[in-house]
Order: sequence, then C-alpha cells, then structure tokens
Amino acid sequence: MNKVYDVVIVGAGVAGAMIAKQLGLAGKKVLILESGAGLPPNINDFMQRFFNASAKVPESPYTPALFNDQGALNDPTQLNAPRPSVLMTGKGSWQDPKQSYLIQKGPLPFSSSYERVAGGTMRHWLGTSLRFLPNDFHMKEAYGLDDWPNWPITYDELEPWYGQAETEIGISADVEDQTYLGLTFPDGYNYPMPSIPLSMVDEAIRAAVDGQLIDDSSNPAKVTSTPAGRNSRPYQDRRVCAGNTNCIPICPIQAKYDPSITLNHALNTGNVDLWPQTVATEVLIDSETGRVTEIKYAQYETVDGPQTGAGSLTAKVFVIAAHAIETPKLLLRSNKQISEGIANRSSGQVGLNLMDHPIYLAWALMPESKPVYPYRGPLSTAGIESSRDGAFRSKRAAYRVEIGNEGWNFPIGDPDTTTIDFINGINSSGLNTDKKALYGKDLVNALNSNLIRQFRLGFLVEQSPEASNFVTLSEKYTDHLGLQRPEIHYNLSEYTRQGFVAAQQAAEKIFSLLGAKSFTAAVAADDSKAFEAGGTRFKFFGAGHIVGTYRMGSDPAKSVVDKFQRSWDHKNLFLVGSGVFPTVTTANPTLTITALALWAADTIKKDLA
Amino acid sequence: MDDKNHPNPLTRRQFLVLSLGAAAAAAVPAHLTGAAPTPMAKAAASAAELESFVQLSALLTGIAAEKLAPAVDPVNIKQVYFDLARKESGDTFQQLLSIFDQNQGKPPDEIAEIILTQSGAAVGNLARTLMLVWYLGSWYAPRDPPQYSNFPSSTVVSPDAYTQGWVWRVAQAHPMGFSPLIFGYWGQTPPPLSDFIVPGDQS
Repeated sequence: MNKVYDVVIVGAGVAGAMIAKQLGLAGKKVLILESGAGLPPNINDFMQRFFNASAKVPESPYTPALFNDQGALNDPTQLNAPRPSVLMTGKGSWQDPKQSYLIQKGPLPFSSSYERVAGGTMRHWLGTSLRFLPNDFHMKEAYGLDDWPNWPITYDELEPWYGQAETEIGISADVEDQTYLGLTFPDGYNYPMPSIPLSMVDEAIRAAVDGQLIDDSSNPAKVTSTPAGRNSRPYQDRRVCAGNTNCIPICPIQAKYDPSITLNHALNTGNVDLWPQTVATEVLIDSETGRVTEIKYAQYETVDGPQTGAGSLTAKVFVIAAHAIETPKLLLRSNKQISEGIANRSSGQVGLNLMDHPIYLAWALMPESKPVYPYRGPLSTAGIESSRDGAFRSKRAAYRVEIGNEGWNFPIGDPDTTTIDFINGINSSGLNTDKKALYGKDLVNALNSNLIRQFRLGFLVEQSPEASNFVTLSEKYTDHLGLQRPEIHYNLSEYTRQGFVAAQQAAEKIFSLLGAKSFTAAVAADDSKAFEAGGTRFKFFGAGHIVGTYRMGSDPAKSVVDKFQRSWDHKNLFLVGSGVFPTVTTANPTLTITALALWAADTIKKDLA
Repeated sequence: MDDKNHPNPLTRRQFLVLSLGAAAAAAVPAHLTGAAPTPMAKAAASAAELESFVQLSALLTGIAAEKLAPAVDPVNIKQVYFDLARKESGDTFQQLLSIFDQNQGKPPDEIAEIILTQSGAAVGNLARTLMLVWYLGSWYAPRDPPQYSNFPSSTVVSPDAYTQGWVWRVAQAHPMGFSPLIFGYWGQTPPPLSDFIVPGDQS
C-alpha cells in the first residue's frame, strides 16, 4: 500500500526542494517525484563525466549521457527522460528531432537547456543571486508598456522572502553594493557571508568604466561584486570557494550551492520521500470541486530501458515544480477531462510567454601592458547592474552586464581553440593573423601573451513577454515512455532586439575605455541563432533562464496562478518555479524562484493547518 | 615538489595511486623479475624510447622535460601518451622517434624544422598531435592542419590527462574544474610564467 502523503511535488529542483524542506520541518508528509536520476552519494560520477567530456557544455556532467557510443547525440525518442542541451541548438541539429529533444518550430531556436535529475537545472547554475528591481514588477506603469503584465506583487512584499532565500542558499554579498536602483533592505540586514572578492578582470574594468556613461541609460556605470550562492566562508557544512572556474557545469567542491543540499535537509526531516526515475504523466481533477485528486506516474530503471512501473498518487495538495517547459507539458497533456488543459480554463495562458535572457556576447583582448589573468576564480565575480533600469525601458530592452573570468572559453571554446591555432598555423580565434605554426618557447610565449589578456562580457537582455513564444505538445514526436515532447515556437521581438543594439554600443564603449581590442566575431551567414537589428547581424546565446508559460497575476482571465502561485482553477494545485514570472526582468532568476517557493511553502503550510 | 607555488601539488588520490603502484611492484615474485633477459632488454629499449619521447616533447612544447616528466611522477602521463601514440600511430611514431634520435646533436630549432616540415606530412602531423595532447589532454587524430575547424573532433585521453594539460599552466592558471588554489587568489597577480613551466630548485 502507498503511504499517505499530505503533499506530492513534481520535480526535485530548487523550488521542489525548498518546499519539501519547509513542509518536512513542519511535520507534513511529502513525496517528491523526480523524472530523472536520484541523489547520488557524492558528485564523483558527475566529475568523471565532466573531465572525460570533449564538449564541456553545461549538461556534460549529468545524465542521461549526451552522446552514444558512436559519438552521436542520443536520440531523444529512445530516452525515458530526455532533456535539451546547448549542443542541440546548432544549425545542423536544432530542427532535427533525432538530435533535439525540443521540437523547435522557430523562427529562432530556443537556446537554453535544463536538467532532469535530482537537483534540477541548478546543478549547473552560475550562482548569481541578484534581487529583482522594484520597477521590474510593474513595467506597465513605470514605462507605459501597455502590453506587459504587472506582477501581482511588489518588491516590498517579496523582500522578506528574498532574505529567507538568501539564508537557505547561502549568499555572499554586501548590502551596500546592492543598494541601487531602488533596492532596499531592512535595517541592519546582512547577507549570510561577505562578498566574493573581485577578480583582476573585474578590477581592470572597474578602474576604466566606473562613473562613465556606457549607454543611453542615465546611470553612470558601476562594477559591483555579484551576490553569489557561493561560499566566502564555510557555510552549511560546505567549503569555501577555491576558484575552480567551473561553476557551470559543476563546482568540484560544492562550495557553490546546489539543491542537493536542500534535498538532503528535506530527506533528513524523516517526513520527505524522493522517488527518482518517476515521471508524472497526468493530473486528474474532481470535475465538481475542481480540486486535483491524483497524479499518475510512469517509472523506469535505466535511461533507455522499458517502463517498469506505473501508478497514481493522492494527496491533499499538489505542487508542480518542473519549470517552464516540463510543467506546461504536464498540464497540457492532462487534458482528457478538460479540453483546455489543467489550470488553463480561466486564462488559456498555459504554455504562453516563454522567455529567456538572450545573451549578447562580446569579447576582447587587453593591451600587452595590462594582462588580467583570466581562467582564474569563479566564472563570474562581478557585473555592471547600473544599466538594468531607466527611462530607456519604454523603448528598448534593458540588460545587466556579466563580466566573465573564463577568458574566451564561452565565446570560442578557449583555451583549446587558440592552442590549436598556434600549433597548427590556423586562425579560428582571430589571434593568429599571420597563421604561424609555432613550437617550443615561441609557442609558450604566444599562448601566454594572448591567454592572459582575454576577457568577455555577457549582456543578459530582458526578453519581452510575447504570447507568440510558446510551449505546446508535439503532435508527432514522443520520448521513450510515449509522452509527447515539447514543441517550441520562439522569436525575439523588436523591443528585445533593440536591447542588443544598445548592448553592442555599450560593449564598444567599455572596450574603448579599457584600450582593449574587440575580437567579437562576425556572425556566420548560416548561424541558427542569428538575427538582424538596426541593420546589424547579431548572434544570441541562451542564458539557461527558462521563464514564463504559467504566469502569476491578479486577474484569473489573464494569468494561470495567483500571487501565492495557486492555480486559479484548482485550489489545491500550486505551480512554482520561474514559469510563474510574468516578465523575465533584468536579473538571473534563481533567487526569485527560491523566494517565491518559500512563500508558496508558507501558504501550503497554512492550507494544511 | 619543486616549488611552493607549483600549481599542481600531489592530491591525496595521486598519493594513493603512487603507493598502490609501489605495493603492486613489491608483490611481483622475485623469480619473475630479472629471470628473462629478453623482456629486460625490451624494457631498457623502451625506457630509452620513453626518454627520447620526453625530450622530443620538451623541444616541441617548450615545457621543460623535468616538468613534463618530473622525478616524482605519480600520474605518469608521459607513459600514457607514449602508449597512446604507439597504439594510434605505431609506424609513424617510431619514425618520429628515430628522426629525433638521429638528429640529437643538432640545434633544437633545426631538429624541430626537420620534424615539423621536412619529414613528410605524416610525421609533422603526428608531432602536432603530440603537442596538442600535452597542452590539452585530448587526442586529435593526426591530419593536415587546414582541415581543423573551430572545434575539431577529439577525445579526452583521461581525467588525469585533462587536469595535466599544459595550456592552463602556460596561462598562469589552472584547469577549469581543478584548482589547487585558495579562496581569493583570483584577485592577486599569479606567480611568473617561469614558475609554471621551468623546474624550480628542489629544496
């Protein structure tokens, strides 16, 4: 017989883990269903897989393996819990259902990936833990963007939950650094740990750009240490950061928080169970009361083996915490009883408004006299937040600037590409213009001189919410369990594209203030991620910030959940995670996901009291 | 270790490997060691070839031989690369070592020129593959350079090979995902390049 649970949670990522822990501490019986692998005893297997991966992409340490024995991408049709990879977004793969799990209808590829494994996508997060700005919550009033939805909450309402989230994750930051563009903190508030020291890259940029106007925002630029879920002191029995420069895909010493920490805390309450390799397949409702009665599931034992089990679970409250693509997939396929899909009758908004932070990437080389010694420290330790808000937001997308400490690793796959260039006498990097094939001391000196001067900037552009960017179910393609795969329709609006135009100008301004030479490559004619704006061809990258698709709001006709993340249609169903964000805003989503999850846990606790 | 700033001190795991290796050697019965002259002669020839390989590698990579193959060498990556080159490119590898041996007395630049440009494409391409494996820990099948694109296909030889990659030291850094350094080091200028690639005093 099944144990009786108070709450069933779908998804063992950060949102599910946070809710499970809080409910477990309150004595509630909780079951978490995880579609992928469960919690390993340690991260050794992840590390070995990472070390052995030729393409050390964000997904490389995790399961299922990206490649088969022949070196081709595994066919998602053959996997029980497939997930996207950045390797599936290139020109040859993004629209090939044998390579890409997501069925991409374009016109542009949705370029972010996620994990289906206990710990979720935060297994490979960077650690950035910025708060959203007060204006982020009401863009319509602040900037006259009539088509934009307001958040049903204000910064002030969310503020206490931010504080709790910062404690749960363990954030290193200084309040003084973070008090900008309207951000406020309670008197005497301190982050759990002091801020992470700036890198030499950060210091060089700070010296050159602080106080300068870098774009059409009226705020002078300011380089600040980025709040990070990364230990600057021992915290939660975890070590201090040793600067492995590997936050994505994996911190080898878990100095960076990941949700396995919270999952273990949750399991240790004795009230929480976690079922791995258990895929939720259908949500059933009572047609009279509208309450969710059961969640059905399918189980498997090996990543590409046969289905080994199935069943149905009852509970008082159900939580779907499977983020902005798998959550609508589950809701839309649970439509045998309701043609619109679960939680979708009032608004019809389930699956719509998919967003990301499309990234404008710019890279440059410092002058010979000013090396900055990258490939050291956390992947990013600082950013420029001063361009996140301003009157310009009525006309173009805002952005934050992330300063990278990993040289040109993100843009061109360095140090490998430059090494191959100077050994083979080719010029993929742009650094070997004479196409010299070097050896011995000349090789050492050429590599050293170039590598110690590299840096890159990532502009995380706020993508506008558009109903035409959406997730639905593929009519044709399924995974190995026979479940329909997500079909994605995706583009960048003119508003968003204008953010790229401003970002490019800001990058040029920063490079010129530094005396650095830009090596930002021209976009190839056939690049899948290319688009035009202001007469220029751009390329964007995904940020892994998968947002929207079950937005929160104050009007049941226009939103899927209320401010407590409760479904308007089904009172005992909570939908949590970044899918509830009405807008993607100008900061990385994790801290806000966590704050909102803690708020939802509090509401659920009250419901169960 | 040769230097307190050495970026790659022995890890606990490497010590374990070292001591296990010693234990395994000690366990070989005495009557099996030294009883057969042919294997011994082979071993001596092989050791000489390995030494040639290290010297050749030092010439091509610009990294001191004592750094490529330190006196205390628990990882012993030189042997891994030597065996791999022999397995993947047997005849050409033998040819490459012979060319190197035959030209030992010449100035280094002349030897490099002979290997990289005057001994045929197969030898030159293999030499570049060996440079790449020392630098990146990945095996790039030998082929003519223009065929390389941004991300030519390659295979990571092993986790140890990745973490032993010399490009990270040449960048005065550490392999991504393998930092032996301490909190906050990234705000300080690293030790000079020579500390990473030239043997220090052994005190």
